Amino acid sequence: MSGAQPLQSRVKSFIVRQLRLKIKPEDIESDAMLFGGKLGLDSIDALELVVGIEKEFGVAITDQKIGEKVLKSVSSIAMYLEEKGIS
Amino acid sequence: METKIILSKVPHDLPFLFIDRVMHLDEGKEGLGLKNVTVNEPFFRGHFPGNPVFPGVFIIEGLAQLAGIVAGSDGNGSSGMLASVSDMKFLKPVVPGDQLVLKVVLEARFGDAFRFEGEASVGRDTVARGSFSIVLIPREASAPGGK
Repeated sequence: MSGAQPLQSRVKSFIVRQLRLKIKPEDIESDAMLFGGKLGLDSIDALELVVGIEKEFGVAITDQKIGEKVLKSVSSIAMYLEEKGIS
Repeated sequence: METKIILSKVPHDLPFLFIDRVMHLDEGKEGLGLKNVTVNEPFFRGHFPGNPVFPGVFIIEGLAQLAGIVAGSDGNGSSGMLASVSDMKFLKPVVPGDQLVLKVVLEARFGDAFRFEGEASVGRDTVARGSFSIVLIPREASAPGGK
């Protein structure tokens, strides 16, 4: 899966910037749970990510069920973006 | 939409209602509300003595109350609660006699969380603008005992 690594790094930087997290992008593990895990993100953060993903990557997430799957981890976000043609 | 109907839709009660009238409502999309600022309001005694300025946080509150109605706060099932505020700017002081026009536009929704762009104006001047989020929660959780 070429291009996955740079995209994951981009997603990590985006998350830290969008949510103003006080950690470094590389501190987020690609497969770690974003919600309910040690990052402690909440439903407002989910909304912020949805808004940010549309602005940053031009990909809208309108369906909540899809959103819940996509926002699970950095890898799931990167995978979804890749499916939408982002590399 | 008159005050009585607004009160039936939001979890708040007097003296904490910051919209007098809803002039336009496109549910799930946008809303336009009106707040007449009068010197009778008790907080002007302290904010500030001899120099009444309508508190910016009440502008945010008015925008959030309007957003709750746009998001579907219906007085029975669910209530809108302010959850986050970002990049809110207060550009001009609002004083007694001003007619505050509040405008909210839904930017995004995810589940029960809604993000809005809000703007308040007096005449032709924008007096405040920014983004904020509200969450719709079951009425029982927001108002123990109900209203």
